[in-house]
Amino acid sequence: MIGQDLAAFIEGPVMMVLGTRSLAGLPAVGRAIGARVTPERDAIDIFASPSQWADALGGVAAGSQIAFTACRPSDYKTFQLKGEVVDVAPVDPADQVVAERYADDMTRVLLDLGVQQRQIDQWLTRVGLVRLRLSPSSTFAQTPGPGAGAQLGKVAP
Amino acid sequence: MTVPLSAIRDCFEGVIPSIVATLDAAGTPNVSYLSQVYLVDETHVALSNQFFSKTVANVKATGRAALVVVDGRTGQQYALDLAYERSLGEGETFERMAAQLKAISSQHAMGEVMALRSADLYRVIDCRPAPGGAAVTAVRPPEPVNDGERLALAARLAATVAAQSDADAMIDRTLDGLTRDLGFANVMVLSLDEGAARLTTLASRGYAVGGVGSEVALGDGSIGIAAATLQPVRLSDMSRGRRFAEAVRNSAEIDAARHIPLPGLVEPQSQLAAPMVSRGRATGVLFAESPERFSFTGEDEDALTLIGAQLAASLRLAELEARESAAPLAPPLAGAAGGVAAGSFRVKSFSFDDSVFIDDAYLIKGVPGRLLFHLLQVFVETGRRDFTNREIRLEPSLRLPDLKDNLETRLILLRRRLDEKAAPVRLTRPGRGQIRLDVQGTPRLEIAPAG
Repeated sequence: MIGQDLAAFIEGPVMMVLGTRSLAGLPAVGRAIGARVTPERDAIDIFASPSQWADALGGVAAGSQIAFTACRPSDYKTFQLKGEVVDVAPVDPADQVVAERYADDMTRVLLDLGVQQRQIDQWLTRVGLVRLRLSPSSTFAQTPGPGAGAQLGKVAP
Repeated sequence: MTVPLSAIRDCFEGVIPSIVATLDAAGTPNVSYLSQVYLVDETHVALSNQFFSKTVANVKATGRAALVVVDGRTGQQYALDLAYERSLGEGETFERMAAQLKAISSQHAMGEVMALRSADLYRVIDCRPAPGGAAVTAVRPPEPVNDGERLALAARLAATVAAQSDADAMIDRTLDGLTRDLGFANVMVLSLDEGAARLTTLASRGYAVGGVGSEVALGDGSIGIAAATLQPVRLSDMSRGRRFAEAVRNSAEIDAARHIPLPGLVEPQSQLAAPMVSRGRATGVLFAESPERFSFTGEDEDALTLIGAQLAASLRLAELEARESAAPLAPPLAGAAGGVAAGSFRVKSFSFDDSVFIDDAYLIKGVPGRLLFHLLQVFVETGRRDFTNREIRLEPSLRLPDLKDNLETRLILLRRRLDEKAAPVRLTRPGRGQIRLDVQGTPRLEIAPAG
């Protein structure tokens, strides 16, 4: 179960990255474009572009372990969730709406922080997205500082 | 290597956070933001390790990491495959990263200062661009490497600074050369007062006010960090770090009555601070800034460091020569002694910080303040205007720290501050190791009651 505060954080305008294992068995990095916690708060649907992050997403299928980190750029508050991918599918129209709204909100936040539009455009891909459903088994506080990496528990807050 | 690392230098400026992913021995991924990736050479990078312990544990177990770095100008992303080599706990790469990290974290107000635990060195197996957002964007062609042209200019400037025998000329030649030959539009030189843990502006170019005598606390901002760590500090995009510049500006504002505003751009985007190092100690800082992002390159950093070292050495030598010098006193200029203008001015000294006010306007504090008040006291009591560095150094009431008193630098500071304020008392240097008071009017000295 993902706590209400964490769910709200993840669904807000936070920068999202994925750590995965590539087909070659090596670590790989990708960005995610929005996320939505399931109504039961037992899983997260994460949207990402396999054409942009071929290494990171090429090896991800149901049963893969992944790491998902969400960071709020205004204060660097960061959480990492780890767990198993239970499903990978192309986005449906409702998913696309969530991803697009995320990209819009995130763009506004970054522009307010002084980041330039042309930079943001490199990061927030809106097309050709897939949906990864992550069933998290552990959550970590990752905000920079001595407490970074502390496990918040097997059950998310 | 799909893209040479030298072609993506802008990714290593700490402007946009990098991302690192690793696997543990069981294959479980970990992904983390990373404050600093340092370009070591064409095939190596070093990652800052403050507290991302899972990443470190994983690479020690599996030896591999994936990194995404972002060009701070364009946003273009690059994916790097890394093989862990070793952790550095000291040495040049470590020291440079520690100083830069301190500057970046204070710029971004990251809460507590993030001390660098180690710099983890990785070999780069491949570096390739990540396709852009909506469409795959063309990778920017690598910028031409300018073959050390800036360093050649710096070496020539260092040589002209070394050719000067007069400390004032060294400072002016340095700043003029930085603006004219190297094209730095806004520059300052500050000297470090180790005892007071602060840096004081000696001279500047490119600002509306000279700001002689303005101060930065040791450890504050890029200037203070460069002096405290003996490392150059370079910031390439301060758009998200307004608080940083404000911290520098506020550092001297504890007492508004005794505050000289630091000259400085209202909204700098790039800053470069090089420590002036002589015999392993910081004696000051050479500082440049710009309203444009990415104004300074790694080569500019090396160039300013080189010139800073030369200026530090030259000033130190001038200091020693002035100490040894026993040149006969030049006769006072005709008219200088006799032509005291009518009128009087009030000089008030506060003993708690040795600050001096002339007609209620703050002039200077610390050793230069003590010095000026002493010279004026002798002048009022005896009418004497000529002094030598040697007698000043021996004067017990001045309480000069004997070994590294930097008397020459303090005199330059005092003289330039008096000139900038168009004060009724000025200092001139009739010869090496000599000081002459030029007083317009009658000083009325006053010592503020303690408390």
